[in-house]
Amino acid sequence: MNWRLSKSLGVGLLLCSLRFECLAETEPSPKPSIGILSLSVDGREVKQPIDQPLRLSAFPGSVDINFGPVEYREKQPSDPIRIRYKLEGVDDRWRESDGPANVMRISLGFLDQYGNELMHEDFEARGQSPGWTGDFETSPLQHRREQIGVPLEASSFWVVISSAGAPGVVGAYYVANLTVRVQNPTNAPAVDLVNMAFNPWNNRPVGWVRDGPRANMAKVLENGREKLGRGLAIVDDNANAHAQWNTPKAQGPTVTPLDTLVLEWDEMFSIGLAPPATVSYKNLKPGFYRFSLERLSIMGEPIGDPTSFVFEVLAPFWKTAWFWISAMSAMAAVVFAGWRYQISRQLKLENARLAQQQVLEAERFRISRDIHDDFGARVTQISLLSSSAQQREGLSPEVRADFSAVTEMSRNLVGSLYETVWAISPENDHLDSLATYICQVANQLCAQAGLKCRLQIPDLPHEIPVSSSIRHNLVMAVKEAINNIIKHAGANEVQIKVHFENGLLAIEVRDNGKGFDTSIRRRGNGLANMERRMKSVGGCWTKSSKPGEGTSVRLEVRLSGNGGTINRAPAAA
Amino acid sequence: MSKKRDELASAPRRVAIVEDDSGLRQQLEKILKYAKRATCVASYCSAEDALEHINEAKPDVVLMDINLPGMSGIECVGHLRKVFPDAHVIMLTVYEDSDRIFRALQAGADGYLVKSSPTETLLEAIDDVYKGGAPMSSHIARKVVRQFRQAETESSAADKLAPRERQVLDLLAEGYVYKEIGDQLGIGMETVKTYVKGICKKLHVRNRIEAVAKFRQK
Repeated sequence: MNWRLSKSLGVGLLLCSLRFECLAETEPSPKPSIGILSLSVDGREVKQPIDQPLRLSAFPGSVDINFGPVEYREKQPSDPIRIRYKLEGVDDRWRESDGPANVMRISLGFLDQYGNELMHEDFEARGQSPGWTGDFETSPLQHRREQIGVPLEASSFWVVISSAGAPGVVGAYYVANLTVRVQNPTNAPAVDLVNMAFNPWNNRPVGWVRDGPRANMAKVLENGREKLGRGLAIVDDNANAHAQWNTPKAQGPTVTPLDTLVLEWDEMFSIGLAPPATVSYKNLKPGFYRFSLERLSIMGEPIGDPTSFVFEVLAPFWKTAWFWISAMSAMAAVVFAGWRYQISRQLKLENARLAQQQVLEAERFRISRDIHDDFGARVTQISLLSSSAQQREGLSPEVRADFSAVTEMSRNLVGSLYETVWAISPENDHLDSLATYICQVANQLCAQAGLKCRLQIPDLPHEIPVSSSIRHNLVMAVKEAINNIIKHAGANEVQIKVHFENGLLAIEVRDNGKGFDTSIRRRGNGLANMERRMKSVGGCWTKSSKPGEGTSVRLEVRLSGNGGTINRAPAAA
Repeated sequence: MSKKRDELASAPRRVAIVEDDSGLRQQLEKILKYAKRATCVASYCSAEDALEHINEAKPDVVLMDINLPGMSGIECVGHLRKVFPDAHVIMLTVYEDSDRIFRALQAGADGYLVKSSPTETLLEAIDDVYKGGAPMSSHIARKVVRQFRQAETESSAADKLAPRERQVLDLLAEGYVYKEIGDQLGIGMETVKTYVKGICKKLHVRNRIEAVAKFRQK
């Protein structure tokens, strides 16, 4: 179960108490199995939960992975082992010996006249030489040349080729054609202080000895495809021991202080890492990581399949998908709720407005009906009563005059009531009703004043809505204009023209009276009222007159609510 | 003929009142009681009452409230025309409400009168209703013009206006009063009234034709 799960997760790793067990994904190999020994974040060891991929909390400062052989099968712990590793997502290639001491080296040590070492210079070999192919036969040799100043008090030197360094260094180091010469500015023939010559009989290097805890790891080997070359090699397969070739310390070649020695050699190498080892990764970003391990031969060739395990560095909560999903959901919910609230509010307002409008309309009907049916009848009755009282015999002229006044006033009151009823009643909210009423008003006023009334009012559409307020104010303005004529114009005829085109209603009230000079300003209450009434309905009025040619007042108002035609500019008329 | 006219002129007009408001009804009765040229022969408080008993009273003129509860005055006029065609009907209205007056004329009323009119106007109207309707104001005329204009394309001869009637109606709609129309057309005022009466009749005929047409369509 565990196995399948972890495999399905791409994690070839199982938790075994505190240890990470790493199994090769193929059949168990006879080679020692390698894996993660421990993983710690910022110095604290992390235990992998059973059945789940390893998750590391956000922003790990340093992830230290300790890996090595986890179990030995069939073979002994001393089996050569070399491992390379890679953290996908961080390392773009396999890595081995990145530690500062994971090197092999050539050292040149200067000795004083008593044989004590004064100082030494190291020439390190790290990683793999360019073009390394995995063996000494096919890998190319790389030439190197170094210069060293001979220190004061130095009398001789020795050369060491060694795999000594940090524990865990394993690999192959091959050095050929090494010479040490004194730099000669005079261009005289150089003399080899040290070289790498081999006894043709036994192939042993002349003037070199091997040493070290596992001296047998220091070898003489041929190189090249034809094995024509020969050199000194250290094939170190033991993490805990080293080997070296060196020239004898005693009776080494003598040197002169302040001379410069030139060290030249050819080399190839593949130097790696023997587990257990610890690698550190700093500041891993959130995401999934696969840490892979691969066994190598001592010569650096992969053996078997790599093994790997996956771990996850968690995103900080504000970078996680669920955080954003929930945050967005919450936000969306808030926005949606707000939107719904807004809509429902608007709906409520709209409903309230419509309800209000209906209530208002019903109220208008009720008021107009009340006035119409009840008030009107009562006032009519008063006028009839006083009218008949007026005719009684034996009344004093004063009383008769009073009754006459009551009759007249109540009669006028009926007219006013009708005007109110007409203005309030929603039945009359259209253009033709307005036109008809203007006829009526004009006719009545003119008849009372004994003026001729001439009307040019065409049939107007019933479909054009005209609000109660516009109707009322327009009628009052027309009355105002006619009353002005009656009072001031000295006319005997009033002409009224109504014109409606492209949403613009124009009413012209003209007389044939004496007219006046418009350049002389006259202020009358009537004109101020007209101004106020037209302004209150968003309309305007103009007046034109000439002495002796009558006066004309033009009222204009744009009627809205006629769809497209209402908003169009009026055609030139 | 002239004898008959004199007779008609001298005999007081038999007037019936249809009015639901008792106060107003009494006022009207009182006015007619003191009038020499008219006498009240019946008064009813509802359209239904009037239709039932009108044949007993046999009035020359019916003063009909336009705004009755139950059956409206306008509706009542239509029925009255069938039940007792001889009566001349004057609609009484509190207000000069063009829509209602026009509908009453369509229904067959011969004239209309605002209730608060002076007594003389009422009595004149009772006299005039034989010759023509009560004076037709421009705003009513305007509606009548509109009605006939719509009919012009489709109508039969029965409800078509004679040219003179047409002229009179147009002048009325333009605000001319009867006297002005008479002067304009070179006819007497009485003749103008006759034309107006003709117009009202045709309006009524037209309305009936329309009603029948509507009925047939259904």
